[in-house]
Amino acid sequence: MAEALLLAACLAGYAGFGLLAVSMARHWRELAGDAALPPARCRALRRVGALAIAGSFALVLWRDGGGFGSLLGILLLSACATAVAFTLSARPRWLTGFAERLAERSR
Amino acid sequence: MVGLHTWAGVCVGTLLFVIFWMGSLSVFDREIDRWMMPATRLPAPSGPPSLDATVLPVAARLAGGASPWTIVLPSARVPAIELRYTDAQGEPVRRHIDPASGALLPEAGSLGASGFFFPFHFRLHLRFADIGYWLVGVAGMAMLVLLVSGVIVHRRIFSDFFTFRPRRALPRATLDVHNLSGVLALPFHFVITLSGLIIFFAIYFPSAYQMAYAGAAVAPRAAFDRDAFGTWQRPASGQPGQLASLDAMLATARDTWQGREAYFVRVWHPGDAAAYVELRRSVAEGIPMNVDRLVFDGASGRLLHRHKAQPVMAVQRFIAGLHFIQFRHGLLRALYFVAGLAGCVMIASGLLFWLAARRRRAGGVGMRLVDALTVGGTTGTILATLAFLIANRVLPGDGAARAALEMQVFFAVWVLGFCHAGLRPEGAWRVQSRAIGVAAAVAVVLNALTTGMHPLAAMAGGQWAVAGVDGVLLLTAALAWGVARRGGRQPASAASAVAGADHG
Repeated sequence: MAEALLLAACLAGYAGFGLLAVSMARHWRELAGDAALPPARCRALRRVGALAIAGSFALVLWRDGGGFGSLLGILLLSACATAVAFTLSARPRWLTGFAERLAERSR
Repeated sequence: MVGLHTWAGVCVGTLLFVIFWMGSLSVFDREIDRWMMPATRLPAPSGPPSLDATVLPVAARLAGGASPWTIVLPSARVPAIELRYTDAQGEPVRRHIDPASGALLPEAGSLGASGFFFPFHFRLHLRFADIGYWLVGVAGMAMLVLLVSGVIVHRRIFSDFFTFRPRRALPRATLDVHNLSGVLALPFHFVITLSGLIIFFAIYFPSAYQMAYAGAAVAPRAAFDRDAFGTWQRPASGQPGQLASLDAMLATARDTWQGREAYFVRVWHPGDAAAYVELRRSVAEGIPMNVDRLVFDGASGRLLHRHKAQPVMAVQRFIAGLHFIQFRHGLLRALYFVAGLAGCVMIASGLLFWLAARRRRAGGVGMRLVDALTVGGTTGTILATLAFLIANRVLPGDGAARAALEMQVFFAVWVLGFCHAGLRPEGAWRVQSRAIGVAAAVAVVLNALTTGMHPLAAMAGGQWAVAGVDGVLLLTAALAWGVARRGGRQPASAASAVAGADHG
């Protein structure tokens, strides 16, 4: 149970930061090139990303309680964000497919 | 603001790196202790040992009338009982006892991580006039300034939040590493630096207790310690006396603290009729490092004094607990270690960037000095640490002399690192990175040869501390070689990248 919660928190944190990263102009350009990200989709990405990050924190709080949980939440989210940064630099292809599906098909 | 960030960084960067490095190692100090003190690689204790049967005879023989002597009970991280006392020459001694058999283990002949890296972290082994504490305090304040000014200076860090381009020219990649490690671990770095300063409030801000206790009957510090930490004292009587059962006191403590255990037993004036015994409650259960203490009469075993932190002190103990991480939580411990190392990476990459950006403009003595300080203080510190571990496995002899020699090896290699960087600045850090790669692997091999416990055997035997230290050493070796190779490649566009990166 504790391991499952931890795994879920890691995945939620990684997904959350991943969504935020895709919504950012610089990373969007790297992933999707010239294709535009519609503002509504950008807002949605950010909203779902923030929710996932909050969810990750909540899962850790549930697992470890207020004291250890809040410490673990902060450090775990730092680790998730780092993992996203490494994904973008080493394996951007993991995210390009996702970005292409979001892009506005103007051409 | 750019000037502030740059010059504060260049002036205290090296010192900050050393503090962060030693702090990161101290997160796993007990585990490194097991690596460095093979005699204490015992199986995990099955239950609380009997102090009366195991420790008292040994303590009476070794420590005699030396006051006080201290027992640290075995725990999940330290399987042996620890006995501390001062010998006839007034030197502190630390011995280990097997809790299962009561056998006195051979002298470690080493300070270990808890005796060398940990004090290094907060007082740099400079005891004279508390100068070590003050240097660390100044560096800590500078770190807070650097963190805040860094967020302002590197104003694009939030729009570049996840940006890491290792394949770009070296200065640009270095700056990416600096920004990334800085911003992602920013909450940790801020809290750990601030809490570190708050731990030593009585040193950095003595006027607070001096004013509050100016009218006390005893010295202000003593009066403050009595109220804050529950220090309780009485003089020796000069009459011989017998010590009552320590096990009974531990049982009373367990009842008083609702089932929670003591971890620390200190006997004052042993052998005297006025002997008394101080018990401290375990700090492994939660974040706050409680100051719950019980004092028992040595002769009768009667409870004399009970202390619990008052509200303000309880807040200080919570903040201290955040920093000391003495609680039982393996995952948090590992994350603290990684986040601490991220701090090292941030500091080192900041210094490297500063050097790379200036090397092309101007040389000069100042430049060379910063170069030597940076390389000696970063790769040199890591190399000296590994030399310390290697010395631990190969030095002959035993006792305090061996422990002192081990320390001298650290400082000798450190000085060599600075000299090497000063005399041959071109590519010095690459040479030292390669040396780190070799030294880390050598340490693992030497541990296997001298103790017979190679990483696989350690895992099979449940010695996770040893296996973990070996694993991190092997990782260090691989990483150091990788960094040395990466640093060797100099893209042609490096100069133009520096110009562009200056305003990143």
